Amino acid sequence: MTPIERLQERVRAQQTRLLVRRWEVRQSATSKGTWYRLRRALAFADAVYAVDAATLAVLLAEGWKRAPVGDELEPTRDYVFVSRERASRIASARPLKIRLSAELLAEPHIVLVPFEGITPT
Amino acid sequence: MTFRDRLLATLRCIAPVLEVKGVLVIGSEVPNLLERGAASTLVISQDVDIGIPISAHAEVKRQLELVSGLRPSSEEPSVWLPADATCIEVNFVGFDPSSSDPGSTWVFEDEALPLMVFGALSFLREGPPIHAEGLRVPVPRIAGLLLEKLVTDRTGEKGDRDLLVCAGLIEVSTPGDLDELVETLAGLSKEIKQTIRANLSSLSLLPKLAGMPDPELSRGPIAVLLSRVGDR
Repeated sequence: MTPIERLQERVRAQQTRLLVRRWEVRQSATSKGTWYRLRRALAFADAVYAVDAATLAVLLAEGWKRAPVGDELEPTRDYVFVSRERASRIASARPLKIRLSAELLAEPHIVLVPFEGITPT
Repeated sequence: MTFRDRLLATLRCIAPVLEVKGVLVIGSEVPNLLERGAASTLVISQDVDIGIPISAHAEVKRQLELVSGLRPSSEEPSVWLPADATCIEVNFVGFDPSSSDPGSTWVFEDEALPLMVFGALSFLREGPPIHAEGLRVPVPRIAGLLLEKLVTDRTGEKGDRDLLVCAGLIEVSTPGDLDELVETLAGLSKEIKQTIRANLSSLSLLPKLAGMPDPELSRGPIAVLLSRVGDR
């Protein structure tokens, strides 16, 4: 194989990867995009805490909203963005590392604090 | 001999090429060069990428005749190998600033210096040069370099390391750089925007790797960028 043929081979491989990526992007609005949407929600968070069901119920009653991505998992999870001030008043809140980890995924009720000035969309 | 010594020695060897208008040092070594005094404390890769505008290909070939201390690989003439351990590999890649398709990849065919031409490199625009130990190093503007890194397919550990380079770039970027990135992004396709959102989100959650830029330091700016880019 000549050097130019080797480069052309790399171009073909690159074009194949691009086709796969385009397919993935087209699927991003469907269930294939769930992990992306969860990563994105976590990317908005400056802090993440595990809370118990009773605390979560209180937060929802106060009007804090669940992020829709929690409904895309099975079993469903509660991901709720609250203000830093509100989170600081949750005595039982257990801080979690902000990673898409087994530890985080195992928690059914999660409170997220967005970075200052950010409204998660 | 430190990595910085080897990187600067390599750039000194290819200085005749760096004099050609439009040629840029690109890729993963740019965050190293952007450190104060081009300190190069990050361990990113053992090569340096040089972006060649296709329109300057003939002139670059002429200037390569003046280069010593490196020679082209017989298997891959776009890669120049160091004669000894004082330098690192040089990888020449092509770009076409007038290209409007960031997804395109093609081969610029030439016996002596064939080049892979990457459409994503068309985001690069010449920025203020870096001056280190008497060397003038042309580098791209940070916004374009960030865009190029964020639209390129990233998979596996190599992909993670490439994304962490973005963390290094975000760390040294100014608010103006990020404004420029968002403004450029506004005119791009839905697919590219989605790729960038996905890569930014992944970067935000990456753990720190030894010798690499710390993604924790970029999480706040990434959240702001994601917010500004929107979800559509």
